[in-house]
Amino acid sequence: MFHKNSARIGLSVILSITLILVSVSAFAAEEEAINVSQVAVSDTGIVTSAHPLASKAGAQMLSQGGNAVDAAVATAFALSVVEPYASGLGGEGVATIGLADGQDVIVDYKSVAPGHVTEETKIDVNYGAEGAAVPGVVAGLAHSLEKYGTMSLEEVLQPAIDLARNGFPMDEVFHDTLSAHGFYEKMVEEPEKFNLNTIAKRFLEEGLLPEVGTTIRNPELANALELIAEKGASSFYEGQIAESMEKATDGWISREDLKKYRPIEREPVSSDYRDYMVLSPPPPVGGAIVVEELNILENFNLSQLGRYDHPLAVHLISQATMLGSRDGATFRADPDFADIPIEGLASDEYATERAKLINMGKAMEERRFDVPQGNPGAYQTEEEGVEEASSPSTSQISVVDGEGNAVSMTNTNSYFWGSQLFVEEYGFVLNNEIHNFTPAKYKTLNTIAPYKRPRTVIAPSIVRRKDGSVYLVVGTPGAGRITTTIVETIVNMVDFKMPLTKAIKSPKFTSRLWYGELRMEEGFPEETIEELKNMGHEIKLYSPLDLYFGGVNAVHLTENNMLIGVGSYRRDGAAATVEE
Amino acid sequence: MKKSKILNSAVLALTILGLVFAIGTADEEGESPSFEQPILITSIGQSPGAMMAKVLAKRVELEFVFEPTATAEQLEEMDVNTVVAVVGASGKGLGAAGLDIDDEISRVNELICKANELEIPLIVMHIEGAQRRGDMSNQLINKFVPESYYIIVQKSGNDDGLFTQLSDENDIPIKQVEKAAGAAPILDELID
Repeated sequence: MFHKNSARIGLSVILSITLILVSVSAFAAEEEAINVSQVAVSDTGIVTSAHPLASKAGAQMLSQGGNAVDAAVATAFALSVVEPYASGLGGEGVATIGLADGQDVIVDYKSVAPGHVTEETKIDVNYGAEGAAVPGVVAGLAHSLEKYGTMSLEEVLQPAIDLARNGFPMDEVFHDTLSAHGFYEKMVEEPEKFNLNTIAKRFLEEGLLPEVGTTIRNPELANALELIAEKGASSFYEGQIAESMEKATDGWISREDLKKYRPIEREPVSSDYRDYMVLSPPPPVGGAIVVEELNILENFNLSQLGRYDHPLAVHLISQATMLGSRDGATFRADPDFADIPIEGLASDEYATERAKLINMGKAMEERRFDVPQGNPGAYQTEEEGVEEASSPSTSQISVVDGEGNAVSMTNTNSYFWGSQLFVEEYGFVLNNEIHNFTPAKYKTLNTIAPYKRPRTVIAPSIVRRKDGSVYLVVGTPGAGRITTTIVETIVNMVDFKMPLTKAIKSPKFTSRLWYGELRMEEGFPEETIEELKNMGHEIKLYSPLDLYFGGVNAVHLTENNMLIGVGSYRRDGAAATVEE
Repeated sequence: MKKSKILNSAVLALTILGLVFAIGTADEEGESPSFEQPILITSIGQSPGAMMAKVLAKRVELEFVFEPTATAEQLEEMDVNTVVAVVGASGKGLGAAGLDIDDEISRVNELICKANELEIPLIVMHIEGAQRRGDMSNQLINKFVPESYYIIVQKSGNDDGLFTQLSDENDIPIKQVEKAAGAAPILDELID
C-alpha cells in the first residue's frame, strides 16, 4: 500500500520536477547556459540542493566566475525563498568548507539561546516566540562569503531577490508542507498570534491551499534580502530587521541578543576511513558521531560482504550507528560551554573499544539505556573532565567548483516552518531551536544557558582522498536519520564501490536510541529481512525513497576528475552546472 | 418464430424503459436526503482538505462542528444533522493524528455506521485536486465515497473520472467545481 502510494507520489513529484526543470532550462537558455537536472556531470563545478531554482542560483555564481563558497551562499539565500519552510533568514546552519589549497574549516552559525534564559526556562515550547533562538544564518553566510568567497553580498543575493520579487511556481513539496505541523491551520485560525496575516496572503488563495504550480511571491522577504545586500549582515542584526524581530517576539529575542550574535569558526572533526579522510563538524552538531560510526565500521571488512543489502552489513552498520547515537546523546553539546571529548570520539582506539561491543549474530537491545555508555574522554590526548550526560527538517547544499573548492552546508529552521512565528514586515519565519536543549533535570551537557548553542544532528561532510583531492561532498536533512544516512552513503561508495547515484538511491535504514526497532525503507531482499529478524532485530518498514530518511544532495569527484552531482531523490533536489 | 420476435421486442422495450428510468433516477438530485445544519466536518485521510472545508463552511456561515478525527462515540454525543467528510490521505496528517491508514479506515467505518444508524446523511468532498489522488487516497475514495449521499469534487481531482464512475455506479448525485472555493456555494445551497 505504501509502496503503490509512494510510486504515485513519486510520479507526481517527477512530473512537477520536470515542469520546474523545463521552465528553469527555458529561462536559463535566455539568460545564460545553466543546466539543471537530477544528475549532472561537469568538470567546471556542480551545485546540488533541494530545489532546482536554488541550485540554478548557485550555478549562476559559478558562471560569473565565483567559487564554491559564492555558489553555496547564493543557493542558501535562494532556498530561503523557494523552501522557506526548511531554512531561511530566521534559521541556523553549519558549513564545512574545504578549499583547494587544503585548508578545511567549519563555520558554525547555529542559533543561540537569548541572553535572558535560565535553567528554569521552559524548553518544550515548539511554536511561538519562546521556541525561537537567535538566528545565525545571515551572519554565517555573510562571514563565509567575506572570508572564503570572491563575490559581494549584493551579487550572491540577486537570484534570491528576483525569486522573492518576481515569484516562482509552488511545487508539490511546498504545497504539502504548507499544512505541516498545523501551519495552514494557524494561518487560517490564529494569524494574529503568529504574525501570519501577510504571509497567508502570499501563500494561500482566499484562505485555501493553492494548487501546485501557483506562482508564489514574497515581496516582504525581497525587501529584507535587498536590505542585507545593500547594508550587509548588520542590517539584520542591528538595523530595521533586528527591530522587527524584537517586536515580533515581544522581546524574547532582543536587539542586544542580535547585536551580540557571532558565527564561530571551528576545526573539523577528521579521521581516516579506509583510504579516505572524512571531515565533519564537531559538536554541538552530529559530525563527530558520523566519524565515530565510520571508525567503528573500519573494524569490520564490509567490502568482503560484497553488497549493501547483505544482512550482516545491515546488522553491523545498525549496531555501529546505535553505539554512535548513544554517544551523541551524551556528548553533542556546545563545546564552548562544556568539555566535550571530541578527539576521543574521533579516535580509532575508542572506536575499536566500541566495536568490541558488537555481537556479530545478535542485535543489541534497542532501548536507550541498554546501549552501553562509552568513555571517549579516556582517549583524549590531554585528559579532560567529562560529565555524564534532535531536530527534523533541514536543507543540504553540496558544491564543488572547477578549482577544487568544496562546500557542504546544512541549514535548518528545526521543524518545517520552525516556530511558525513570522517577522511579518520581512516575510521570514523564526526557527524553533529552543526545544533542542535538554531539560535541566537530566543534568546533561546540553542544558539551556544564555547564548549557548542547542545541539542538533546535522553533519555536512567532505571526504578527501589521501592525496587531498575532494572525493565526496555530502549531507542530508532527516533529523535522527542524518548521521545514519550519511554513513550508509559513504559506506556504499567506499566499501561497496557503488556509483553516487546508486549509493544515494539504495534503500536506507536507521537504528538509533529511542527508536526501539530497526527502521528500513522497502527494497531489501526478503532473506535479508528474515536474517535480521533472526538476529533479534525488530523491523519497521517505510515506503521506498521515503523523505523520512533524508534527502542527500552530493557531489563526487571521480578519479578522472569528473564531477558528478546528484539532487536528492527523496525530495525535489537538483544538480546545476554551467554549460561548457 | 413470431412469438419469439414479439417476446424479444418486449424484453428490449422493457430494458430500454428500465435504463431510461435508471438514468432518470440518477439524474434526479431529489433522490438524496435533505441535508440540514448543524454539520460535522471531518476528514477521511487527515489531509488539510478538512481544514479547507472549515474555511468554506465559515464563509457561507454554516453552523458546524470541526473534528477531523471524529469517532462514532463522539458523533453520538454531537448534535449534528449532516456529516461532511473530506477525503484525501496525508501521511504527515495521519502521523500527526497518531493514526496509520488502517486505524483511519477503521475509525471512518465506525463513524459511517453510526451515522447510518442515527440517520445522519453523509456528504463526501474531495477538494485538493490531482495532487491528493495517490493510491492511499484512492483506497479511501473507493471505500467511502459509495457510502455517501452527495459528492462534491474539484475538477482536477476527477480527471480520470473516478468520482463520476462512483457516482454512476452508486446513484449518488455529484457536483464538480473548478476550484475548491466553488464548493462553498454548493454547500450553502445544499444544506438547510
